[in-house]
Amino acid sequence: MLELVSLKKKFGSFTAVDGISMRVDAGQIYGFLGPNGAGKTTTIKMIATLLKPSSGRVLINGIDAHRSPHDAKQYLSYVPDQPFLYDKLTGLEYLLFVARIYKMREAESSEALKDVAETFEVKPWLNRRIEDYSQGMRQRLVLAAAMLHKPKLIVIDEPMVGLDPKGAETFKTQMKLTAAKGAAILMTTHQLSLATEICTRLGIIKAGRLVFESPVEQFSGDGVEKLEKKYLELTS
Amino acid sequence: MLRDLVRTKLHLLYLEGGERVSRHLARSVFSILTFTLFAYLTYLIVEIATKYLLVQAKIGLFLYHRLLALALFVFFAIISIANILVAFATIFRNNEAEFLHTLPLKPVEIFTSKFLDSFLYSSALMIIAILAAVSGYAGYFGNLAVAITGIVFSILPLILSAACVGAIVLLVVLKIAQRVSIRTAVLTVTLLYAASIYSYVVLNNPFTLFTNVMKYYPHIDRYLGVLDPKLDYFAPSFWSANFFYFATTGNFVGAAASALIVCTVAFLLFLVMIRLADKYYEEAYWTAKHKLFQSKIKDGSEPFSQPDRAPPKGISLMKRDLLVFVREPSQTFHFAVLMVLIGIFLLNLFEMKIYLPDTFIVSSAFTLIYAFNSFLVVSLSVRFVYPMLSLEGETMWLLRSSPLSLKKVFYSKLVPSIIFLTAVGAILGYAAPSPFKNFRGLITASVIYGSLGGVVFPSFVMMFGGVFANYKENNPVRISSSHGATVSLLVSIGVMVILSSVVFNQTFDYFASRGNIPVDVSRAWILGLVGVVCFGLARLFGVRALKVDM
Repeated sequence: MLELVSLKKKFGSFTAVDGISMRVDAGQIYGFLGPNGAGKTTTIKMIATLLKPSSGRVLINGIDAHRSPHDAKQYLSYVPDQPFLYDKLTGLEYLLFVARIYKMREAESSEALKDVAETFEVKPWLNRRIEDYSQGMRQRLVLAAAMLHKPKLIVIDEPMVGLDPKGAETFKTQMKLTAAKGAAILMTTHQLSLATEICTRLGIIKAGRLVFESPVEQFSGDGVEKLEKKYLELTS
Repeated sequence: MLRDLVRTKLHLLYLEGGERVSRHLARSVFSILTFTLFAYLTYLIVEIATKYLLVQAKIGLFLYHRLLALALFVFFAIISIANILVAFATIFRNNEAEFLHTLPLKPVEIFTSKFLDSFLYSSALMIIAILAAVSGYAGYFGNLAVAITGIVFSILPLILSAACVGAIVLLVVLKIAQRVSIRTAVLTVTLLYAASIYSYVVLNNPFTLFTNVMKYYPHIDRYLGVLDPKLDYFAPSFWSANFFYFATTGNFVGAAASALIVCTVAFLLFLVMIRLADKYYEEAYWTAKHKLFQSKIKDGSEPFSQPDRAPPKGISLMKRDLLVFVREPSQTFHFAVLMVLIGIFLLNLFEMKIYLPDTFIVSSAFTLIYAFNSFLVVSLSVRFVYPMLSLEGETMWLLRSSPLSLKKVFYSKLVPSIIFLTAVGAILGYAAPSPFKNFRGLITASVIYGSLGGVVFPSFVMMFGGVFANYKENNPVRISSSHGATVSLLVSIGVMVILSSVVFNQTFDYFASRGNIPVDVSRAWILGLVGVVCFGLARLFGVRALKVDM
């Protein structure tokens, strides 16, 4: 579903992402790990077409996201690390706006909207303006919007920011369910326990290069400790 | 503490407003050239106009300085109104103000620092304009000392007074809003403010003063203060103009007395403002933050809902923009004020009758009305169209990661603006000829030229909005008073002058023939072509701005 081919991004003389090649298949939850400044967010922004690669390709369902962005983004949902939203809209207006952008029909969007609003427990807040939302409630709304059009590829940057334990639990369950239905998920996180709990494959990036990739099964049993050890060994 | 705050603000102002040359060399050079050209043109216009009024029209020094007083009054009113809006955005609805409230600072210290911030942020263009104008004045009279002392002791205190009046009005509105609804408070204060400005202009009819002064011809250079309406004494702009009259005629005692009055008024207004801020700023801040804009829980019909099939994406984008616009008080308030001003101007145009025997002057009068109409369209464009791209701001991640053409996003902003401003231009164009005899023959041409301005100016301004897009600032008032917005205003005024000269050229023969030769509109295609070019440039730079790396 997602394939990165020799993806590179330079900012002047600084190389933020240095020739990353990787793939995330349907049904897979890929945990993209790495220290601060390693290039995770830059990579994700190139996938979401917010940044133009210096070289290399981003293929979403086989479509080059930077050559045919409109076609490629039909399959994509992106959740940024800091979800800036339209503060003057209500939650409901925001979700409906997203539905319209993805050309969802009324009947289809009504059902999907009800579904995601209940799942992420934003229903009581839907008629309030987003400017009244807490950080966690904003994160829930963005996740709900991301799931609304049933995307084939979900790219999430730091999903747990601001979520309370219940919200975090809902998120984990939903990710597993969505992947089970055939979606590919790429997420960055600093929480190694989250990575071992829900991901099926892990990648570690350091100084813009992918230095490690493996199925999560390698860290079965006392997974978090093993992963932590490996992570520190590769990134320090 | 206050000194440190102000120093930090000045440093930030340099970084934000001045834009570091190493990073934005091309834009900075262009901006500097535009500001220099604007200052030079202002200098020339004032020098030439002074020469024309005193040498050719022979209106005399007294009347000349009364016209100056009227111009300074308009200047005073514009600054105070602009400062109400900018001060609201800077002192009350601002992330930095919120941060400053978490520090061990007195509310009045926060207010003073933010007041200076808004004052310096919004008055830069006005200060440049007035410095250039005073230089033009000094250039004609050949008296640099008058210019320098005039700027220091007459003009700068006048600007400070205007800014203080703006901030005082704002504090009063927010104080009243604690007891009544914000709508009632704004409406009451707006009506009172508009009524006082209107009364001043009506009671200071320059035509009446002109007739009265001319009775004393040829002694019209003498000080004929006895003819001044007494209401004038309450306007600081009157004393500011009096300073220049006395200084130019060598009456230094009169000049010193006038300067003393202007400086004292500025000082007293500043003290009143600080006193009011000391007493009310804290509660006004919380009123602005919580009470005024508390969102209501919405129910009933849903703006994005459509039965059966999804609406075009462009329509959804426009609905979103409209909702965000109407729910932002600083946008709706300023929009309402400008619409009321346009309404008053239209009423005056329909009532006004101009009988001038000289073809050159009557053509100039019509061109001036056209130019003022265009200026209104330019002002609306700079205030509301310029910030549109920047306002996508940090929420742009959603549009950029969605299957959405960025051209569509761009068109959803520019096309409705053009439609609205073309309608405004057409209405103003329809009204423009009404003060003139044989006006009916002018209407078609005037509507065509007015409407074309509604295409040219928003497109042109949108182009600058793309070039100077700043996605980190989310306050529309601050975006539309930024460095880039000022440049777009100045360049638009330049285009406006060129278009006005085309209009003058096209209508001169009509007035010369007393309305017997129809107005030649054959060269309207020039304006049409300018419109198409501006639209193309706006699309090029606008879409490019939306594609920038985030």
